[in-house]
Amino acid sequence: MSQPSLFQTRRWTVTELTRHLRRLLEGDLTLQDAWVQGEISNFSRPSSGHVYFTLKDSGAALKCVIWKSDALRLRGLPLQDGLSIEAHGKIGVYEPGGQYQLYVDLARPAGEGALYAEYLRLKSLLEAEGLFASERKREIPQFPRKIGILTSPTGAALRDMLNTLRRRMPLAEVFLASAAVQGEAAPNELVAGLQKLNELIKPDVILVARGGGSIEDLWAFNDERVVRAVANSAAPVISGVGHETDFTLTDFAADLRAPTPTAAAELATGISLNDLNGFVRNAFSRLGSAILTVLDEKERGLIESNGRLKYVSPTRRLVSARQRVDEAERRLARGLNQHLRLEQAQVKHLAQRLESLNPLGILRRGYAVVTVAETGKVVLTAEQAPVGAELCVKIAAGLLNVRVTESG
Amino acid sequence: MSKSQKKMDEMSFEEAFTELETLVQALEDEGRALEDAIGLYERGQLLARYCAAMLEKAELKVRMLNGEIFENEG
Repeated sequence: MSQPSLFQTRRWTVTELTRHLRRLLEGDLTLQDAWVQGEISNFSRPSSGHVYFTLKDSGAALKCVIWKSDALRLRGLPLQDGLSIEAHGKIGVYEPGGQYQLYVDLARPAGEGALYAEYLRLKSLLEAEGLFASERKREIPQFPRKIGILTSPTGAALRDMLNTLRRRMPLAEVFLASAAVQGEAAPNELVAGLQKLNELIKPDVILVARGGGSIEDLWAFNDERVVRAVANSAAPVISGVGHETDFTLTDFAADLRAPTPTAAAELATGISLNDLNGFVRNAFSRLGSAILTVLDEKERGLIESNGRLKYVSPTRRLVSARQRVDEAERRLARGLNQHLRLEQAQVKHLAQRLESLNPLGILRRGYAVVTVAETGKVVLTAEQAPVGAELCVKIAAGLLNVRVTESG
Repeated sequence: MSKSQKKMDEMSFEEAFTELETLVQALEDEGRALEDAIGLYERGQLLARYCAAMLEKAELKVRMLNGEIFENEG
């Protein structure tokens, strides 16, 4: 046990010392951007939403905190005791507890680090080549007749896709190119399957799909050969690999990325059986109302024509002619009477004139008409009546037979 | 009826439906002779029934690349 020195060394308060340690740790930049690998223990997520756990390996332990906002971002990761992870963050000191700890902002299952780095390298390489460019994306047909599927024949992904297609578009024909979707053989089989689909079947659209799994399980879909084959497929490709949170390079290269195999099958059938039934019903009802419109139109036309027809019909002309005849008859009758009256007047007048010329009238005034008895000729000269001739003298009332005794 | 029309039972759904659409459109255009219109209507009814029947009995066909029917469905 040593003696206390006359010149006492500096005496810290706990706070001073803790603060000093904090400055040391927080001043070390390598500790402010650190990846740490370990196994989770003492995991807890209290109602505050922050997450607390300890990372440990065989030799040491490190307290870790994930603030609520970061925890929300990392919720896709199944953090739990026993899980080996790589955690990224900065070392800080919690002064009231006298604890240094890692404030985690990123985490991923351990062992994925190298794969992930490769993923990022390949992604930026292919991106720079323009393989993922939006101009390359082709339109997905709404109503494909031939649908190619590239997946494992035994997986749940295929079953999900077929169920969806059967429900939504049973008119379609499906062609299955089977391929291993994980393991060493997978990339080659996927590339070959895609090529055969395009060459032999020429489908309207191809679904490239696989169910969920770890990043290692999905790795074939990050293989450069597969990604390039998808980008260069003759038929447009819909990818449905893994779960909603998984983004493989195949997803980036596809013309359309679906979050799951089921969703891929839905996106491949933009027009569903229901839609088609609706189209047919609609056409049927349009057909009905169109023919009714035509019939109405024709009926109106018929009524109109009928009206016009009556106007020009022989019956009407007959009636009109009849009328004209009646009219003429009336006028005729009227005219006839008038005419008759006129004639009667004329006859009367003539009769009067005739009367005035009647020789008998002259006789009544004392004149006489002398004719040769034998011939009846009116005697106008003496030579016509020589001596001895018998004459007839007509007077107003009577007839005298006389003999000429003197002539000349 | 045009001579180019196929026998109906050889038509695909799209062929039948496309003709149906064209025909409905034609029927909706005005100024058609009654005989024509009724002809279009009758053909349209047949096509619509044909389309509906096709949808009714449609069954998804799944084949392998070699043409064999795929049967191991889950």
